[in-house]
Amino acid sequence: MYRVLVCDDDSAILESIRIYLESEGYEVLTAVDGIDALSVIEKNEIHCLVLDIMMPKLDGLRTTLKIREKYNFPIILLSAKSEDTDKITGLSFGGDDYVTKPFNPLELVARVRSQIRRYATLGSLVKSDNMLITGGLTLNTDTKEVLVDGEVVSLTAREYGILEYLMKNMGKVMSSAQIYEAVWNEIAFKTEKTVTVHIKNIREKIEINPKEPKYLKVVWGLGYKVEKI
Amino acid sequence: MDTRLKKFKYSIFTKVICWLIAVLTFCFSFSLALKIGVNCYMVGIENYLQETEVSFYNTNSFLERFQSDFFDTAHLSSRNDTLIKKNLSEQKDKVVKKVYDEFVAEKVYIIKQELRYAVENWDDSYYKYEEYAETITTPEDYTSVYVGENTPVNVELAAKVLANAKGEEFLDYENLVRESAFEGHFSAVQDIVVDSGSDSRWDFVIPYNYSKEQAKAFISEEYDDFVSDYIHWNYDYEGSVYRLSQVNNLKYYIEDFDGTVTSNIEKIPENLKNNARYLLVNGDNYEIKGFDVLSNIEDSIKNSDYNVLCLYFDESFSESDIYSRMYETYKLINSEKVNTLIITFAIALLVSVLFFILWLLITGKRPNSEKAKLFFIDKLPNDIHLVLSAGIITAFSYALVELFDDYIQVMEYTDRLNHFFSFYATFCFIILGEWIASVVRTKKAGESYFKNTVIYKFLELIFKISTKLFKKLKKEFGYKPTSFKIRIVLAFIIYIIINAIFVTLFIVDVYEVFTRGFFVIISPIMFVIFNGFVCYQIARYINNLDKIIVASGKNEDVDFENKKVDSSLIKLAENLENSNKNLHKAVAEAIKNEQMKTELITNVSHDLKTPLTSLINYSDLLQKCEIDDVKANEYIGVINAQSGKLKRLIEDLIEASKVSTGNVQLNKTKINLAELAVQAIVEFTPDFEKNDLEIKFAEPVNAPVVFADGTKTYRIISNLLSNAKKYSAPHSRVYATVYGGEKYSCFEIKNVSKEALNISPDELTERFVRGDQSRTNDGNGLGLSIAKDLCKLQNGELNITIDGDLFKVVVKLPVE
Repeated sequence: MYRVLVCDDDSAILESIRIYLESEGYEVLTAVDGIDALSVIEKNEIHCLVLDIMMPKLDGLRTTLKIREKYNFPIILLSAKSEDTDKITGLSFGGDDYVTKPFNPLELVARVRSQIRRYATLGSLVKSDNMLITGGLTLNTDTKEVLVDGEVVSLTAREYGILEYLMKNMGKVMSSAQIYEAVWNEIAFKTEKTVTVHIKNIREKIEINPKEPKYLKVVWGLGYKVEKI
Repeated sequence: MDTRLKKFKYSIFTKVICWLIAVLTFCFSFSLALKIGVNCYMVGIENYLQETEVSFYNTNSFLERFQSDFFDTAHLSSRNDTLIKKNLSEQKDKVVKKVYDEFVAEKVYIIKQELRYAVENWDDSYYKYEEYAETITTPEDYTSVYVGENTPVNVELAAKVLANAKGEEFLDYENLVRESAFEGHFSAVQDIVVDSGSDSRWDFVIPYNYSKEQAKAFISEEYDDFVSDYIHWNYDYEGSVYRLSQVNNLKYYIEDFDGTVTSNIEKIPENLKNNARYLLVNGDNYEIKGFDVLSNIEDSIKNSDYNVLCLYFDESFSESDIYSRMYETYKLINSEKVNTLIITFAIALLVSVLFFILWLLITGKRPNSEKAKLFFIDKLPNDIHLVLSAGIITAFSYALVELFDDYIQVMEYTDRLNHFFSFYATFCFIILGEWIASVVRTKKAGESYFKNTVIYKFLELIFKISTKLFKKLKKEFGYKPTSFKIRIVLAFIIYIIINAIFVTLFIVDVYEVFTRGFFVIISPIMFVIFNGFVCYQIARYINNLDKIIVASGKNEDVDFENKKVDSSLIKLAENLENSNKNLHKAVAEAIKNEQMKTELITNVSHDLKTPLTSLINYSDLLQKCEIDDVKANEYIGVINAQSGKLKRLIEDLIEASKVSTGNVQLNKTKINLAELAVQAIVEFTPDFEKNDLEIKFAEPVNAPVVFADGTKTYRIISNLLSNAKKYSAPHSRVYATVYGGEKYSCFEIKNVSKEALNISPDELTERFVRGDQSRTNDGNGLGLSIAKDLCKLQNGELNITIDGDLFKVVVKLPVE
């Protein structure tokens, strides 16, 4: 039984999130502001925290900073701001994921699940040189296995090739032509669409919300990259 | 009849005839008048009018000429150069010695050259000479010795000056005057003058630095010059000889005291006494016959000192000379009837005057118009016309009188001369007539005579200019001059006045009118100091003004560092400070407003999103509840769908407001437009397929590059794709392409609209405007507006073309 703490100043939202998470079988604790959340964390063992950023008394970002002094359980930030800069700020403060309001409740639940699974399997994971890892995404070049939060994802040979190439060049933006030449081993000519379609398929397999990818990101007009988390 | 008469009266033919008659008759009458005038002069006006017979030897012309010739002969007959020269030479040694002795004895007075004039005009201004005399202090100042016809007073002054120069006290000048060699010398010259029978005088200057020998030679030379000049200027024998050589009918034989013979006959004829008129003088013998004219001066001839003189006439006047010509004229006069001449003259003159007046009456008038017409000559400024006419007439009249006078004197009056004079007189008449006619025409035409003059025009111009200038000045300085203008004008006037005072003082002082040199030194110094001060003030003013200009450019306040500054500049600086304050205030307010706007957007988005989240969550939860009521399930579905729509609307609205206020951060890089298009299209392909649409993308050979923010550009393209998806006709194809240009690269998308587009492209990009008037679709009308604003933000363009149902959008983004 995993314990999730949900913290939001809006009781309606708080309640709805609680309902969803409980229906998924999680034990749910609630808090209405940062201070409240901190006191709950002091008293209970928490496996995941869903934290609203805009709150009275102590806001989400400062709460995150305080929590990170002692704990390393995953924190999913909730925010009404959707700008990229806000997202980056949130993650750099110690958040593990970022969900903008209004959110799809099922997506939130999926993210919570993903974070908990990763957190739970963190210790059991055997790291080796042939493993490429970013966040919950793991790629084993020996076994050609791809794991997302510990679960195996089945990819086609081309998809695996593209993902491996991008993970080897983690953080770098690779154009579709580069990807094509590396994976297909042919000279690229009007091949953007082929690569793009494959990338789209990969995203659908490894991302919780393919439209807002966490690992495999589209850099518009330039290419693609796998984010180093 | 009347019109025909008029036509004839004003025809050019009539005018020319009138004018010709007037001119020709004038010419004729003038010629007659001349003749009458000459005749009157010749025989005397009374004799001529009464037709009294006068002997040729009694006509005025003859007498005048003969008298002149007689005096020439008498002059030659009494000539005795040798004697005069001898007389003068005899005196030479005596006079030269006397002057030389005086020079050596320093009894002639040394007077500075400039004093000469002063001494000669002694009595006018005694004090001035006194002053000059005082300034002469050393002998070097006296450059010459003056000898002349000085009065005793002048000598007195000269002596005084000499004494002064020698540094001696001059006391007994009266005594000096008495003994003055000056006086003695003067009388020596007088002696010469008396001897030569003339009042000629001798004066000269001996240079001061001459030695005694040089002075002696100089005095001697001066004397010789005096003698030759004296004879030449006092006895013009050459002139007499020349004049007599022109005469042929007057026979003369002259022998002077020196034995020289002047004559036009070989010797005195034996039968001289047979002549009706003759004169013979031989030493003391004197005979005269028939010369009435000489009877008046007979006594003086008898008493005069002539050697030999013989005169008589060739009474037939066979040879050609002045006398023969006069005789011809005399004969002509006697043959003419005086009365006929005078009557003819009177008639001719009357006719001339009549026709001239007639001409004046009709000139300028036209048969076909009432109004008189001006000739081109009338358009000439009238004063210039007058001056020209008067000038020509005066010049000709003067020439005429001069010539006439000369010829009438010698009675060489011939028909040719008469014609010549008449012609010139007629010419003057024409000029004068033309001028009068011009005046008459001007009057007839009703034009003002004075308005068409240079003087009038000049005055008019001056008046106009000054009026204009005055108006301008009035405008420039206005009715209410501002304080600054008054100050500037006042300062300028004061500046001019002060400078004028300095200059005036200086000039006045140079001429020593009343201050005796004080201001000659003071006023230039004051001038320089004053102008220097003014220049310094101006420089300082300009410097401060410059500071203000620089500060105003930077929107800063001016700091004069507590220095004294002109009040106009302080006022300017204050004004600047005030406007700066207002500007800063306005800028601060604008910034604050902008911040508030951003905050508002953020806050509103938060406040909207929070309840929306609940709405979405609970409607979802409701759907999961086991509710039997079918209708309730249906309602829950509507709520869920609409809350989803609301979510998108709010997101778009917030974005639209951010984009339109420019509240967007742009991370511009070089991006591949083709790659971007493909990425976007791939994203949308499933949606298109869902709507039964096909998207065709024409990939370019060369990847077009743009300098833009990738995410925002994706947003533009995705909005366009989303529009295409929403509004395309079912089962149709959507075409997209990209292409590069020199400055811009473009993304182009074309689709066939589902519904008729009764809307202009411009309206489409307005917020909340949608292609479908019914607004039943799931669009919110913000997509194109956001896309357009994003294009603008990235220095690009979004152009929409509607051609029937074909809907085309071109996105232009800059390459660099």
